[in-house]
Amino acid sequence: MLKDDLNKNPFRVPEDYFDVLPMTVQQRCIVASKARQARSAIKPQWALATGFGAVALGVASVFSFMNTNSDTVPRIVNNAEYDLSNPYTRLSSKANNYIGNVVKNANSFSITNVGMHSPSLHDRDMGDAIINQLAIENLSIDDILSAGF
Amino acid sequence: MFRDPARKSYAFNLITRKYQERLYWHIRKLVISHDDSDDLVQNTLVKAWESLDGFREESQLFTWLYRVATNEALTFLRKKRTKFFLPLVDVEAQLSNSLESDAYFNGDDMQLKLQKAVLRLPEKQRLVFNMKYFEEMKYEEISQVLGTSVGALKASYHHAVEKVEKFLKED
Repeated sequence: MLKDDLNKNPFRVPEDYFDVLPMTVQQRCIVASKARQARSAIKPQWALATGFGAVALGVASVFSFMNTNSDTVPRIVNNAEYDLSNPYTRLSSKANNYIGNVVKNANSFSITNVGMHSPSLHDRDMGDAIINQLAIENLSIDDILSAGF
Repeated sequence: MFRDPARKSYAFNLITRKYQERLYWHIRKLVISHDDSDDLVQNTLVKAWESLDGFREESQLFTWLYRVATNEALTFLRKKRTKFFLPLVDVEAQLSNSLESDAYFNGDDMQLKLQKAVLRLPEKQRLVFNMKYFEEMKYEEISQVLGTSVGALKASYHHAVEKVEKFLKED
């Protein structure tokens, strides 16, 4: 069935195609060589830029990580940020004062019962002192607890 | 010879002139269209130019060129299939239809039938059939190009011939 004469090439090409093809290929080879040279010239610079980019990205990531973490840890409140209009800071301020006063009172009370406060304080425990100081400062236990103490 | 830049261009020009026709016809029988074949044969030769420094033996170059040309053609057909979401059979059917309207096909009815029958073969069998029947290559040469054993190629060609004859009888 498959005769030998059937294997003749039935396709054609445009006239002079094979005469023109080497020149077309040569043109493309020149373009390809130039592109290759340009690529190899850019390669080290590109690698350097990529390296710098990676380092910058790493540094930026570390700074970003540090900033994120510092936001989660309560910062030391400075004077500028000590806003008394904020209910929380106002209450904290009152509580700090209160504790300071309790400690100051306890420290100033001498064993000889000579002090700026009533001698009866010597017989009371710290609980009484706290309750007294709360009354002086006009604070309730709930206020103290809700302020996080 | 290829390592000397001054002689490389001259040598490559000789290689192009020597192999261009064989490479072109090899590709043309796979992708059918002249324009596509023109692009692919140029790509093959540009790749050869870029890798020329690595070749020492002419036989190695010839085998390599054929292999690159084959891969270029098969990749082209696979891309076409993916691009249009077509199964293998539909791409070959499309090629088969394009044969009739191809201005650069001047075969008679029997040759048209034969080309259509070949287009219905599986990819590998089509390659082997083209190389053996049309290009009259030796099994050893085909084996080097396709990286398949001679025994397997003989079996493939035998199956391909059977199928082609069956197609021709059916039509």
